[in-house]
Amino acid sequence: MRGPGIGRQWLGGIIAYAIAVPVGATVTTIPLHLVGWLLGRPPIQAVGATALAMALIGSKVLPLPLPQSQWQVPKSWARFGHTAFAALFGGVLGLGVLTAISAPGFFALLMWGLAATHWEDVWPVFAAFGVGRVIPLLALAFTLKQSPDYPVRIVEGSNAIAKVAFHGEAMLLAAITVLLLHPA
Amino acid sequence: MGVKAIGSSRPGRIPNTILLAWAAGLALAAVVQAEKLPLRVTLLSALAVFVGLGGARTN
Repeated sequence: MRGPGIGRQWLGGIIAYAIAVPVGATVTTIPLHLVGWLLGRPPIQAVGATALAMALIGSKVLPLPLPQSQWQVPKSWARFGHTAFAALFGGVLGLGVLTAISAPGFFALLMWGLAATHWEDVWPVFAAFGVGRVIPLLALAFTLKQSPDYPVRIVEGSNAIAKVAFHGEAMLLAAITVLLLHPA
Repeated sequence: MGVKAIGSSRPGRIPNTILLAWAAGLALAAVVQAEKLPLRVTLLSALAVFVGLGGARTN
């Protein structure tokens, strides 16, 4: 980063992104919960079954492709300015469904959004998804901003974080499978 | 193209670290069930954080 103006712009973009991602993720829960209501609420066991399927697919025991969007945030949106673009980019990523699905476990979250009776049980889960999605960029942006190969190292760092996170995801998918396939 | 699985390079072969993660998850579920802990939303939120962290590579 060079110059105070560019530094402020960079920081503004980071802050806009960090706020927009959890907001976008929370917004997703509104249509999701509504669709779940229209469908008559899938049984809670569907969340456990989805978690089991995602644990098996994510670890390639079941080598099945999962549906997801190929759409990307258009670069032309940069015309709205750096901070606005960062907010739009973050908001769209936070929605979670318009761009590439972040991890197989996201489908278990979607099923929870459809199946949960109370919206108060859904939005915190998706807000947590948004926070989780922001953390790597924040951590990497602030630790690597002085690096000359900043973009490359951001990508490398993101991949390393994703690999570690997959084990946490696998653990919780197993726990949720058991708890929701046979709810007490 | 589907979601890229990280767990294994070959179908059908599960790395030991993933097996350990599953075992830890089963143990966690056993404790939660035995103690009747109301942790459903907490566990799903924790899963959501890890799913979000995994999304870093698709940003």
